Amino acid sequence: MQKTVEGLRHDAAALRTFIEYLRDFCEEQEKSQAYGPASRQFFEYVRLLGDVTLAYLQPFVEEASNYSTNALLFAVQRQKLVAIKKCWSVLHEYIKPAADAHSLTVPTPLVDLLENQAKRIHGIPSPSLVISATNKVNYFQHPLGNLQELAKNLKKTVPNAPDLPSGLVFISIPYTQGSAVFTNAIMFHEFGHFVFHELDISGQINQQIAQALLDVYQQRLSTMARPGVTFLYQTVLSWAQEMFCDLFAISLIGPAYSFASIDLFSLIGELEASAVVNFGDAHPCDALRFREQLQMLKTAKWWDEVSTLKCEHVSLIEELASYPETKYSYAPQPELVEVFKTITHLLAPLVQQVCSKVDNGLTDFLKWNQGIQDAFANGVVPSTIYRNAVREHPSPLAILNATWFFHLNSLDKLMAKIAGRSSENIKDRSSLSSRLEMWAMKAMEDNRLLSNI
Amino acid sequence: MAVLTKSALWDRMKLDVSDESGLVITPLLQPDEALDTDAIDLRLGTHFLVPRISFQPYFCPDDRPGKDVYTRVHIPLGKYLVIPAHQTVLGATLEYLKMPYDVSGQILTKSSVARAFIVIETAPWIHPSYRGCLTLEIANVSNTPVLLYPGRAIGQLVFFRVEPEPEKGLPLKSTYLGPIYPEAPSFKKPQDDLAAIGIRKTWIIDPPHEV
Repeated sequence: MQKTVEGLRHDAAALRTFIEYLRDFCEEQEKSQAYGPASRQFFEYVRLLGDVTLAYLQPFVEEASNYSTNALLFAVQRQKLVAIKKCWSVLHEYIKPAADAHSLTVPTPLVDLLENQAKRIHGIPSPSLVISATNKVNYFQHPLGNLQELAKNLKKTVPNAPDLPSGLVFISIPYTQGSAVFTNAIMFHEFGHFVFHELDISGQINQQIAQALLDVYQQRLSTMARPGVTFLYQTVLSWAQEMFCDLFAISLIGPAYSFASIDLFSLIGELEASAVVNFGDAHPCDALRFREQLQMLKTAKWWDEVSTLKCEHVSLIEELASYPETKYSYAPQPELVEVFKTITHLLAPLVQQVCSKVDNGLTDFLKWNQGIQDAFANGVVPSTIYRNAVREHPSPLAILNATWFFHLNSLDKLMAKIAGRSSENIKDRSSLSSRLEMWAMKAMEDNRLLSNI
Repeated sequence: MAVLTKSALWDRMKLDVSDESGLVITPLLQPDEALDTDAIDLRLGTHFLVPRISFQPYFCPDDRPGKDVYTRVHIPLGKYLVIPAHQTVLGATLEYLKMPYDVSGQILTKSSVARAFIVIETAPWIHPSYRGCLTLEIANVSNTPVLLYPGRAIGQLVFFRVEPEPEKGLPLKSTYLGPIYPEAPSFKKPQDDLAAIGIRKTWIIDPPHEV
């Protein structure tokens, strides 16, 4: 903590170096052709913020030096510098992962699909997705609250500081999955977190959670310390949010989300029999999650199609859904599972209400699935299909689900047509799966072009 | 060997995708303009492999992936790639093709592009039953840098009926099956290629050791 003007100057100079680097880095990215509009908007925001912050530092130190004889006023000035530092430290965390997610490492057609689907959700601003590359093997949505709050604070301190662009949604994807179609469907779940906050879904279930806590814990609740009660409430709310996001993703893209979840959970070793009934601090157990997903797929009539697939993903969903509730457990607070069970039924109707104007893609799927399967089975990108001698272009959502169906059920058919390839050879399977993802991505990209004309 | 006409191409495009005689070209944008009497215009895709200075002292076409001699670049539609004078990059067509089992193709630089001293192909022949976007070796043989916009027409593809009719139902070749971007070349070891024509491995000089 600097107590002298000289110390403050040193501190401000170090901050200037820090901000200058980030500002220049963002300017470089902004000029690059390799980012979508949302990322460029974010880089532009940081650059502009950098300009005004850098311009402010010199007059700030000069003003602060006027108060050097008054410890209190000097401390107030110093706090302004602390606020600026905090904001830039937070921005520091966002910038590099966003820069790492350039157009070669981002599933742009899926991002477009997500933005288009999101436009049909009433009550949220038209979103612009800033994709970041994370070193975790998982997907995250970064709550905007922190960034918005810091941006607001900075506006109070730094003259002419720009507003954080509205509608930016930050989603991180594992850096290894950039070009994947399959696992990146998890982005739709992450976007659900944004919707959950924006539409204040917690406000619509908090009374029921509180009542359920009272019913299960009864008098013990009143004897608990406040942090303990808060922990119980927040844990149930977090589980509810995760389940809301699962069902929300299914409403947006159908079974592609459930299949992606299975692939991701398998990859990170979560689907072991011993683990699927255990609740975590943030997530309900997988058995319950897939039970609710199965129910949602049945309600949306998707399951009629999914159940025709002969693959382990389908039997796994059924198996997970069939675990008896009595096996669900949460070691730190076993009764909390009972609380959650009493509010689970509230979530699907909430999702249906939020997504009432969203097309879940089943109609398009039924229209084009066969054509897409035939195209894949012949090694062809399914962006143009002839039906009754008429050229048609399947929608991205139909392509996404049909690709999953082909991947799970029919990869062998294609493999059998290729010289020297075997479905028993892991390298061959892996390379053909990757090829299939590329074809799907290409078909979705083509659709955008073909729809423009 | 006869060149296929516009109507013959349309007829083949309307066939079922599983029909081996069928032709697929997708996305076929502005089809009336793209299809000429005896050829079809193809557009430039959005991905490129740009040569870079290699860490290795040389590049030997062998069984090691040649990825380290290229940098992958994506140029979204609406942006452009600058090809410096006397430089070559690998690009690909925007269109994905499925060639009929009885038709070969030859891709040529579009004449207006050629007059800007751009050459797009040195390996222009496309075999029957090929699937994929076509990799283009795009050379700027002029003395000035040239801007290339993905999405613009760059080549024209001519189709030839193979006679006599080849056998149906042959398996697809796995090398370069279904690429949608330009891909680094695939080679066997020189020793294996040469051994296949009777050159003893002991006679073949190994490349110099890498640094």
